[in-house]
Amino acid sequence: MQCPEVVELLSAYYDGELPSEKAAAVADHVAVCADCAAELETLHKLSALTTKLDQPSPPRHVWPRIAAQLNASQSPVAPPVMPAPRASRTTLFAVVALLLVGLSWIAFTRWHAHEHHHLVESFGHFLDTFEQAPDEAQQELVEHYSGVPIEIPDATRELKYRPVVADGLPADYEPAQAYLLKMPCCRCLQACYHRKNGGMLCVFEHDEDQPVWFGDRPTSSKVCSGKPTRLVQVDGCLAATWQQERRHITVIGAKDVAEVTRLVAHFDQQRGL
Amino acid sequence: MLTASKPVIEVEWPEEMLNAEPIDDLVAACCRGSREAQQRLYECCHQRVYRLLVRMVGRGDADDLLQQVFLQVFRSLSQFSGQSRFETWLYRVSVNESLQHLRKQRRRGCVSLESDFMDRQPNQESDLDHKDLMEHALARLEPELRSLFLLREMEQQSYAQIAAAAQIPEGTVASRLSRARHLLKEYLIESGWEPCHAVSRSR
Repeated sequence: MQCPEVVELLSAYYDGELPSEKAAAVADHVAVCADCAAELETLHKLSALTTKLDQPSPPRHVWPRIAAQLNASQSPVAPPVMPAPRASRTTLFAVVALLLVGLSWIAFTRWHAHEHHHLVESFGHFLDTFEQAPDEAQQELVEHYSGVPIEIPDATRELKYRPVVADGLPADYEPAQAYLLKMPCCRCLQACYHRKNGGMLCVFEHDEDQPVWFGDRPTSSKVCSGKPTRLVQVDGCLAATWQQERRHITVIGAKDVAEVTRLVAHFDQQRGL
Repeated sequence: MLTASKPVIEVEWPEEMLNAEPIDDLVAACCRGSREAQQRLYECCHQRVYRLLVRMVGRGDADDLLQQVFLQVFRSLSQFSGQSRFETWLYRVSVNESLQHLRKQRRRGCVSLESDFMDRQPNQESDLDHKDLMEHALARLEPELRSLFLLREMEQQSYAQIAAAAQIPEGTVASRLSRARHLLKEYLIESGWEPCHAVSRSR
């Protein structure tokens, strides 16, 4: 295979989308051709640059707007309107539609408030009891979110991604237990650790930012090891959330900002960022 | 006990971003008109749709388009055949809405996405870090190519999935992705990027 042909195929080769014979031919060529090897390296660098792009969080006001529009444009579960003379059918339709919009909006806002309250309450209880009675807090969290104990390699297979804790925490944290939780946002891996000098630390990995977990607790933002990090005061310890590649990491039980900074740097280092 | 061992198998992220069964259940409940299911489906998926939209149309328009995409999804969910994955269909709606939005903007003579990033460009190119260079290069890429690149690199979709989302043959996905990468490299080099140097570290 010659350079022009290889250059055409490099992108698909890089993506692992070439048939095995062609892929082998490209690999043989790249092994002996510095120019094509450099081209391939450029593709790696483009990917690395893409992973560094900011991933802004969606604003919270969008769902209420969608729900309002869906309600306004007639609920899809509206009961069929009985046939009636034209004028009265239109009137009846308008009345039913108005009633449905009103009722479903009331139901939606009540349900939404209930769900929100429920999550704030259940996770809030975990945070409240975490420091004083970590075992009890953990048990309740697991019950609430149908958690199952899981080994990290199994979690990797289940979640279809490699969790940040897969390569472990710094040596002064001793692994205790990991759980797979069915949180409202996603299936979430929670890994718990005993600090060798005392205390517990939990690491959650989740798909989306979850400020709702912390309710109205005192919060501040700080850049820790180059990453914007939200810090939340939880009794005598800290919780912290930051974005790690495409997901979000939340640690609960940090002693201070220095510990959070060290963990952010540690996960980045493990990922070669 | 939790162990810190390496995983037995190296899994590419994400082979399946969404757990198939719950999403199928949610989609079915949405089709029955359950507002609760619609909200849960939205919560499951809106973040990845949003990040795609931000790169496609810019932050200024992404909020409105996110709303538009999900309204479109809920209103036409009955047309989702279930033959493709819901996720692929969702990307299709998102890409179509983005491209339509950009076409409308172009017709109206509105400024392009590039201006989003041009505004942020400092006077001296050397002040730009590599992340900004990439933002700028992506914004210069024509929207169709940009959508393919994002589906591959950011959303980790396979060529078959991208082909289904963009409604083009897989061979076309391959050639356009190759072209997108080539152009991105050119744009980056024009902005002062040196591919032979290591990618800068953010810290």
